[in-house]
Amino acid sequence: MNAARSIRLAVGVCGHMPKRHVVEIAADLALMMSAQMTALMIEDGASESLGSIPFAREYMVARAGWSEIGANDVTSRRDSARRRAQVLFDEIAASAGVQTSVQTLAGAAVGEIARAIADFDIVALPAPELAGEWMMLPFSSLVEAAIHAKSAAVIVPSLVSRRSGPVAAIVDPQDDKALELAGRMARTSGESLVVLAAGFENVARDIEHIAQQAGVPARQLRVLDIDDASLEVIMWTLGAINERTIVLGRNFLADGGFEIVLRLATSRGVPVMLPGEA
Amino acid sequence: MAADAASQIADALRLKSGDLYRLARLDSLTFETTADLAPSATMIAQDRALDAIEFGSRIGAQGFNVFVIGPDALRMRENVRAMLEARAGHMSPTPDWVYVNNFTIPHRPVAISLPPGRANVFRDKMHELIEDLKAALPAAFESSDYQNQRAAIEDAMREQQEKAFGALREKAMARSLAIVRTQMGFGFVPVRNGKVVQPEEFMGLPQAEQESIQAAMRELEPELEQTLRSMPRLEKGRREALRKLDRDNVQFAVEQNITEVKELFGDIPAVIRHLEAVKQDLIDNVELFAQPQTEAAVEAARTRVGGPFDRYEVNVLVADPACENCAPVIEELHPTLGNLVGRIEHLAQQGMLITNFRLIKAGALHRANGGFLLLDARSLVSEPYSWQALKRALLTKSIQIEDVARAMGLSSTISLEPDPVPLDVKVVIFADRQLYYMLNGLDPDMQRLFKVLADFDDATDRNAENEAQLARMLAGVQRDENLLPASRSAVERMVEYASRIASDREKVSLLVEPLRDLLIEANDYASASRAGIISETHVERAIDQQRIRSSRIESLGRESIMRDIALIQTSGSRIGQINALSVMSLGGYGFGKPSRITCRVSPGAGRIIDIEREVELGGPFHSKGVMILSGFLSGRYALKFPIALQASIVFEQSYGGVDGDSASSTELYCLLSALGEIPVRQDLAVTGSVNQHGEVQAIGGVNEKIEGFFDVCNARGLTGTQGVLVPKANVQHLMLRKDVRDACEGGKFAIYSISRIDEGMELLTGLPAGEADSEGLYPEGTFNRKVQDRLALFARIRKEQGPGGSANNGRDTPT
Repeated sequence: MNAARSIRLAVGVCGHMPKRHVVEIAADLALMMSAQMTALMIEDGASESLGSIPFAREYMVARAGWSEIGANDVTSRRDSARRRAQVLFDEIAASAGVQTSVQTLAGAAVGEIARAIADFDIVALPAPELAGEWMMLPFSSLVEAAIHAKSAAVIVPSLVSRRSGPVAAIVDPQDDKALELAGRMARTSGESLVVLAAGFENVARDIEHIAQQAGVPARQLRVLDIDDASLEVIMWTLGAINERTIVLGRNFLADGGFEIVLRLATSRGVPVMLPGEA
Repeated sequence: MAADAASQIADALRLKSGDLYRLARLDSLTFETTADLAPSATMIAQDRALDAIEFGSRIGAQGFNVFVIGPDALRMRENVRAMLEARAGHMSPTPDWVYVNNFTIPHRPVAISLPPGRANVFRDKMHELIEDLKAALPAAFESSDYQNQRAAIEDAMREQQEKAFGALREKAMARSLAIVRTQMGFGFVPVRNGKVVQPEEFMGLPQAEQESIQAAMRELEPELEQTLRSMPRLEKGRREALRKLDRDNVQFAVEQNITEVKELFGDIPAVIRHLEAVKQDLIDNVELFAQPQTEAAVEAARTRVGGPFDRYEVNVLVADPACENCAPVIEELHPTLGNLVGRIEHLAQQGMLITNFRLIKAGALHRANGGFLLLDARSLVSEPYSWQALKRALLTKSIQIEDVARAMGLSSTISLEPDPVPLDVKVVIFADRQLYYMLNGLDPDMQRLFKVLADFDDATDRNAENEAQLARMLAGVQRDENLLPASRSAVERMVEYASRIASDREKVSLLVEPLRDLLIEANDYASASRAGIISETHVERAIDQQRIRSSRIESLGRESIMRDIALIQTSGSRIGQINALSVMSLGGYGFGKPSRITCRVSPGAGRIIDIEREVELGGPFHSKGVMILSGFLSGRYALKFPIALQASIVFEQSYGGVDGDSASSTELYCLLSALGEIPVRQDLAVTGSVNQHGEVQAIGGVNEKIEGFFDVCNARGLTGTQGVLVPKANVQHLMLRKDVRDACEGGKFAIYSISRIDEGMELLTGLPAGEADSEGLYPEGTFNRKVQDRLALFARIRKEQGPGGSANNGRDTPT
């Protein structure tokens, strides 16, 4: 992130309206970071396409049945979603005291979404309620874009368990970006920082150095050496921490993909942040 | 009548000074002041009432509640209360009562009885339990074990969902389709090289390819639908698994804490049952401890009294009695419905009135349960619904808290219906006699619920023993009120005063209040004069000052007589006019008031017109007295001829109403005077009732009446001939003021005892009565003869006139 200009935070809105608490958490984050918040309305091409296919249908869960879908339906829903998003964001931004705006990205493919995301320092993604939804368009496009973008990302679960507690960083001991982000989160929230690092003993770095890097006083820093960085071990270790936020090093994406991020977010009931590459 | 004969008659009828007052001597006691006397332990001469109290307090059968009647001045309450407290001291202390939440029917709180002294412990232990659980349970949900187990459940469901969607996605990809999440549902879109086929591109595809895409969609749509339909089942499974996890997680902590409390109350099955219910409710509502507040929970909190854990608290209804080892004695001074049977309070929250079991408050019946409840009848019947509620509680032997608004039909909102509390109480109600007899006459429940009457006497026989008891009672007052000791003569004077209050020298009043007041005032004068003791002088002064303070109206009345505004003659004689005496009672002070009665007669149809009755100023008893005169006249004078008389009798200058027959003898004297045209002495006043045989009967207020006339005569200057005629039956009631006695002793005033009308007429007229001969004719020169002759004249005139009337309308010639 470039500290010389004001931080821009986007809340990805695609598919359907995000839950209020997701926007609230994003607004809190924006406030902590003195960031501008933007509702990034991703009007995906998939829905547009669905609406233009004559025989296309959608299964409406509420009615438990199939229904024809036309271009007009897509358009009216899109317009309605824009309006509702505007109202929701305006309300929460005013309450939180942050600046907000709405940006629309229509019919975007992954590449375009990624480019749009790259304009932001942080992008907040609401975790889908259905576990398999992340495999579906358009969320899958958003996820892929977020993974490949250089912006930091935060995945907010549909049910948040805690809004207080230490910041947990799951990092490679040499992951300066993740540590810096985690430290910044701990500092601005006034919480302590717990670092879960595998192979910490093998790294020739002491606690003071890490603390200095994180910008956190040593008395507010705890470092846990986990034997391995498997999800099970991480989850078990987190069980004793009761964290409010997890910062996950991007190298972990290589092991489990975005799925690991979603699992952490929904199982722990806390936002999971990925540091940016900038 | 010759002057000598008249004087003899007067001498025979005149009362001696010893007849006018009875001195107290207290010979049975040896003491100089009340400091030497031991106060009396019980009320004087109230054996009947006290025995009734003792019986009523002892008997346990239903319905034997007690009604205590008598004037307040007897100070019954203090003594009755002391008796009841003494009995309560030998009775077992009563159970504590609590209300707890009813988890199955929340609007019916459960009442639990606990042994004395344990309700507060139960409350405190429950509070501790919840506080402990509030700390322990959240920790249980924050433990790593719980977190991991929960995560495992979440992961399991997620894995199933992902697996289902993943398989479907693979199939879709194989058919060049992608699953899309729309705003309102799910569908398939065609993809090429991993990208969505845009509308323009799709429309450019060959028809066959479009159809192929359609076929592929239709083929996969059922599987998508099935997958989506399975999601709620998976979700339900997840919820159930989580719920079971939560329940299992709390089970141990709750069980352990509950068991600790159970060990303390294992001897009380109701408490054990409640603890089981608490345990179950805690487990069923584990989310109170586990999960963040949902919007629904927050909204529910807005309409709830207190916090979410208040449902487990204990509302102590009755505990902490004043006496730990005895039954309660409770006096409720303001017996409103709520104060009597308890009430359910409400709190206003966001425009609504809400309540719960913790807002149930005990009433007097709860606090007195197992013991005694003291109530004032007038206060009780003055409060809406209280009397009915008390009876209902006694009849059903239970206390049901009733909401006043619901009882009045003003509220239809659902409030609480707490368990009724079984009632075992002895109710003692204090009332004046009038109210008691009215209730007894009008309310059939009285016989069923208040079978014991404790009727306190106002006065008792004045004998040596009771005079001594009275002296001891005064000694007790002196100590209780921290007064100076009263001298022997002061005490004797107070005994005499008690006799005066009783209006009977053979009795002493048992009204403690006026005696106490007198002693306190006498003490004030003694203290002001720096005397070391209260003397007779101080007591006398107190009596005088009390009279002076209350005598403004009396003084105004006397002033109007002195100024001849109210015409009262106290010398000379007059036909058809006589001085009558009445008593006025204002604010508890009674004084005598002379009145003038006049009578006019003429031939007529035999009717005696009571003018007071005609204008509805006469009460029934007065009217009865006047009618008796007709009977007397007929019986004495109408043996040979009918009574052809029209007479009118009136209390002159009386505008406030007259009742009672105490002036009937006076009216008869006046009538006989008018009939016989015989002047009646105006230096005498008369009081006394008369029957048809001419016997003079006793009346009330004889002392005040005598003193009232004396004061007028004294103000004008006593002539030595003035006096009052009183019924002989009232002589035993005389306890006259010292100035009256001194005047009588000095021959300046006299009191005459009259037993027959003839005696009174002889004294008032100076004419003898005479004896009727065998023909019923009285001798010449007697007043009876004069009356007889006049009546015979009227009869002749009437006969001559015929039934229609007369030339001069039969009016007598004015004298």
